[in-house]
Amino acid sequence: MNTWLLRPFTYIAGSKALLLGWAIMLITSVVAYFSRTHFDGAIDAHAGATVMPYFIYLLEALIAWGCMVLACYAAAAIFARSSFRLIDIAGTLALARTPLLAIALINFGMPVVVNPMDINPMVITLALISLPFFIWMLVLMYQSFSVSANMKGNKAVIIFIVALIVAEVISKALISFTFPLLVP
Amino acid sequence: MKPIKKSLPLSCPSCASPLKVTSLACEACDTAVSGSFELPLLARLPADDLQFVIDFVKSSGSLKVMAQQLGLSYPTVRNRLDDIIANIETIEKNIKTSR
Repeated sequence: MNTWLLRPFTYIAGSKALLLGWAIMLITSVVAYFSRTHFDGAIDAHAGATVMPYFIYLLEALIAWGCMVLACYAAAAIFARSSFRLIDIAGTLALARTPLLAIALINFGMPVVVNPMDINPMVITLALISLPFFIWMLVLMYQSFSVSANMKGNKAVIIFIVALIVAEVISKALISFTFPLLVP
Repeated sequence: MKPIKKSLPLSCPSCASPLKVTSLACEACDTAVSGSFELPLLARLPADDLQFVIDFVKSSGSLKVMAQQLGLSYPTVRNRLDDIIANIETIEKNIKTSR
């Protein structure tokens, strides 16, 4: 059970993981649209933000996932000693975003927070409930990188964190530059 | 009482050098052969690694087939093979240095 929750990529990877991951990402984007949750960055989740057309929510997910895939692929290409496949990195990273579905669902109960004065116990409670799912996603992302590139130990953790930061910066930049052009 | 599953000792318990075979026996006619024989490289692998190599050969060297048979993902099986390759390289180095 623990292996399926924390190391599912021991059993599933490649095209199967990609198709399943994409399907879950699609469902998550629909739920996120209705719960007004923005996943506007490689590891970002914001609730109660501005309402936007549905395609923005889908595009956010694709940009966040795509940037993670590119960053992890580049990291693996530079540091991995074993051979690896892009389809494994892409597939497992898509599936690693599954916990975001739970965060999108939790955000149905999240009150709109415009300024810090709006933060109430309900907001804090829901944020705390969301936190384990966010940590679970990070664990899954690391496992995705570790299994796909056959990297372990402290070196793998450091390389993964750097890749995560790079993906976050690129995805944030892409979203902030392109979205104003798409939604005037 | 459960029968004990013996595993082939690969290194000297005293100095950790690779062990050699000095005696072989025929259980049918009690003939004994003594000398100094090197263990084959694959025989120096741990039992589960050796079983993996046997399964790999049996599946015609296809990691995809092996992954399906074992119910594991392709990268998991490939990583296992990479680890065994690294293990073989270490054993080869150890053999060279012990000569």
